[in-house]
Amino acid sequence: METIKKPKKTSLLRRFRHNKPALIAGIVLLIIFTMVILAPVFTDYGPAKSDLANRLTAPTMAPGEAVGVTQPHILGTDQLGRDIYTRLLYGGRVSLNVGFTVATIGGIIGVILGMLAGYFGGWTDMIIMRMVDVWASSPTLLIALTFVMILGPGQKNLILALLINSWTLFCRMARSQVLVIRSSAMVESGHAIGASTNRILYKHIMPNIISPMVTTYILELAHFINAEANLSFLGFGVQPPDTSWGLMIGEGRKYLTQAPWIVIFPGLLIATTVLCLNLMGNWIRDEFDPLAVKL
Amino acid sequence: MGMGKYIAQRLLFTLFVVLGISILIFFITHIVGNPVDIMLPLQATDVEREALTKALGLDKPMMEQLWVFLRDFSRGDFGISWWQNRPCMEVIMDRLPISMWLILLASMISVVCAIPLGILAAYRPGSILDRVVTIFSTAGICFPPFWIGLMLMLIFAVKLGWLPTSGMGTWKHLVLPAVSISFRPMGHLAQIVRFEMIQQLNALYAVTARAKGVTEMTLLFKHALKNIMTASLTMIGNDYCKQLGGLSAAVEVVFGFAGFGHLISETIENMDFPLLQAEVFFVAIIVCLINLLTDILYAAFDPRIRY
Amino acid sequence: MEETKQKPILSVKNLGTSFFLREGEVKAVDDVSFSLNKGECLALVGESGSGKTVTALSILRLIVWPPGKIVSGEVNLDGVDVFSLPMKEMRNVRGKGIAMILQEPMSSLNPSQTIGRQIQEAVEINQGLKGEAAKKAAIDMLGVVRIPSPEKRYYNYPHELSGGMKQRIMIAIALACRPKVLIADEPTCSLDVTIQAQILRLMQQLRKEIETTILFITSDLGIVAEMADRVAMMYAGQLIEILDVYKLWDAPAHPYTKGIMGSIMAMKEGGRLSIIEGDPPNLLHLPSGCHFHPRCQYCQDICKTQVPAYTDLDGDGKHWVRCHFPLRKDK
Repeated sequence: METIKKPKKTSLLRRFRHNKPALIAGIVLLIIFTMVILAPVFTDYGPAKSDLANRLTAPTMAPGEAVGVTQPHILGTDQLGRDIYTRLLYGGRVSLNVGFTVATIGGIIGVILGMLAGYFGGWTDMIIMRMVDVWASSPTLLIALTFVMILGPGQKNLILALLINSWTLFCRMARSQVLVIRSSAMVESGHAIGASTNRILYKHIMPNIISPMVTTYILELAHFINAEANLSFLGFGVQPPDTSWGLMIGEGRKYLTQAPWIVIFPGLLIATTVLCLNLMGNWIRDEFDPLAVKL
Repeated sequence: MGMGKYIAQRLLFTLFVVLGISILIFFITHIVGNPVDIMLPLQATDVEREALTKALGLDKPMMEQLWVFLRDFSRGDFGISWWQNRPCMEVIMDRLPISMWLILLASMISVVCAIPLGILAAYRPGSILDRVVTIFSTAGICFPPFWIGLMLMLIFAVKLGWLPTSGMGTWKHLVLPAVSISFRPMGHLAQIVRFEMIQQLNALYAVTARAKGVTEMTLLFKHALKNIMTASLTMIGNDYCKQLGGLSAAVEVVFGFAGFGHLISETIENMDFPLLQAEVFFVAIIVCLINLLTDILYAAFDPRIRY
Repeated sequence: MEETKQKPILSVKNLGTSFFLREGEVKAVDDVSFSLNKGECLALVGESGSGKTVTALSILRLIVWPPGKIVSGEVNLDGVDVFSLPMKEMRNVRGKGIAMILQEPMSSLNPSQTIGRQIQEAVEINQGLKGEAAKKAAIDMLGVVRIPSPEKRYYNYPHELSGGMKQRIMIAIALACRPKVLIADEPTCSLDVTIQAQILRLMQQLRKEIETTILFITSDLGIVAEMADRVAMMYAGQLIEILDVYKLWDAPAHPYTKGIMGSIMAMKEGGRLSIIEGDPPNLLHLPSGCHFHPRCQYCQDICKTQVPAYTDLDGDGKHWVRCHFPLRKDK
């Protein structure tokens, strides 16, 4: 009898490398995250360091003229003479912070609720899903704005406002995953050999939920970065002297014709980050979710 | 079940949802925050506080307030806007219709562009055209619409001077805002159309059709298109509601477009509670009606759904 | 390849279709050749995954690229070289030339169109009728496949019909094309046994009435016994034996065929089931030489290294085997 060879499993990294868009997206994201987190390493300016003598200068490679700092304003300065490049880095901290916080907390709440609804069914399921339905039908942005109005603007309140609507998608996702797996033969056979509920949850349901969870997390992260930008642009999110990408666009709007770079670069950065997150999220979903349709 | 019964059921659900949202808003505004504190300056005396509380009817027990609130809303009485000193209904009616038209225009633009693009991409998956469409549609979702608006303004209004930069009045004022708003729905729709179309073209019934001798064009437009309408309608309706629910606010602000979105922004700035409540309510109703509309349209496209 | 007194209406020569997946090339159909004479019924038999359906789809050029591609072969329908036709003329072959009944009636019909329209479409394209005439032809077709109240049923949607009825619709669509050759791909496999019997009876009657040539794909030897004149056995993408149906029971030459028949006979006589050891091969990692050699009790060294050629066993062109040591009756 000829021995049958086990088919070689392509390693995770190799599959990643093969998918060019995802690979590039991943690298770009890594660069952005690094530069934003380690902002002081990448720039000599402070984000609030205004230099009125040099306001509204275009992007340039000429050395800076501020006292003690010679780094060129490679992306120009804004209406108060602050270096755009620096503000992008520090603003990124805020934008990403809001995004991650909301996605993480919302994700935890949503997944727990979803798993409960899916696993226990009955009244638990009905109550939770009705809540999700009402929530999902409601104008989420308006409700977030309502919170902002009552609690006042600012980063913390913004996070709270966005949290209100963050959990519904996670909840639906987790619930549907649990339902699929719960009724699958896998769990039945687990029960049949005497495995306990906890063991089944942990060993069988969790691993299959992880991939759609990660996908949803990444895509929601992108969504919240956009949402933060939207609210901050309108003036209801992050407040000065803090800065975020959305706020930069909002503040720079007045100077669109004189100094368009104030508006152009933050927008590009938002779009790039969100785009890369989307590409990565899509790739993870296509690669790892065994139930997803492969195209 | 019959179409009538189906509609009645959906309407009931609508009522339930709207009620739920109204109560939610009530509790948010009345419990989480105190309108009086927000309205009055810090130095206001207790007497002034009491007076205002009484005037706003906030001294009555919570349940009674809720009852008054619901009763008024069901009668169409949404109170007086603090900021504009007019009935909220009037304020909203001034600004809601034009925004609904604007977003409708944006939806039409997105449909006209996205469906052909999605179909083209699905026709040859993996081809260059497919990749371009995919990237384009993903990008459309990623750029903040208000930023797109600013860029378009910069190019078409400022540099080229073809279109006005802001304001309302002529059809020209609608173009840039509508285009800016349309990118996101366009991206979503193109992706859905592409995905669904690929599913359809690879379905078993497609093999049956081809085995009969049906051409690819006929398969695409006579058979498959009908089958993707439910998913497409869902997406279109969904995006319309989201835009109306506040996503268009930023674009309207950018273009100085005095519509509903702009109104929302101003309402927040002016801390106008009654107006905000009324706005949420209106949007909720419209959303439910649109959902109802799409549900009814489903039945037209998918015979399995006819009750 | 096969010589018979008349020219075969359909001949397939060295057909090869592969699927190019990330993991490698899957040769779903590898060097398959057979022919069909007018009016006869050839059963294409094999386990699932042996390449039967892909063969049928390849004949009609319904293989989708990516990831599947017809890599070799020639198909000749009544004198026409099918593979060299431009797509427009290929569509004429589909339906009028060769019509196909698919395997799963549940999902093989367009859910948003009435079944009447779907049959009518086949009529319009292949019979050239339009409008009312086409509609009448479609309703007639429903009658042919013995569906009661055809005028009413015309307006039904697929989801309103049972599996058995849907399969009759599929047959109606295929027949509405007035094909020269009918390919039926396991038309009864997803149906109840009683419905199965009805459908088979229907097909028998139609065969008598219309005298169609049928390529019947199945893995059910009972159906083979009822319907087929000749049998073609497939294994791992290759055609390993073609023979007359009575010879299948009497004297199969390939060890695999013998093994299959052996297990049935043993069951019938109350003896022990003689199973063929081992599992069907993974098409990504086919055994070298003869694909069946790991499971063959007569395996010799040459079987492990050389792919056996397709040979005419008795010299009369009626019995072909792909085996280095084909079995003779006396064995």
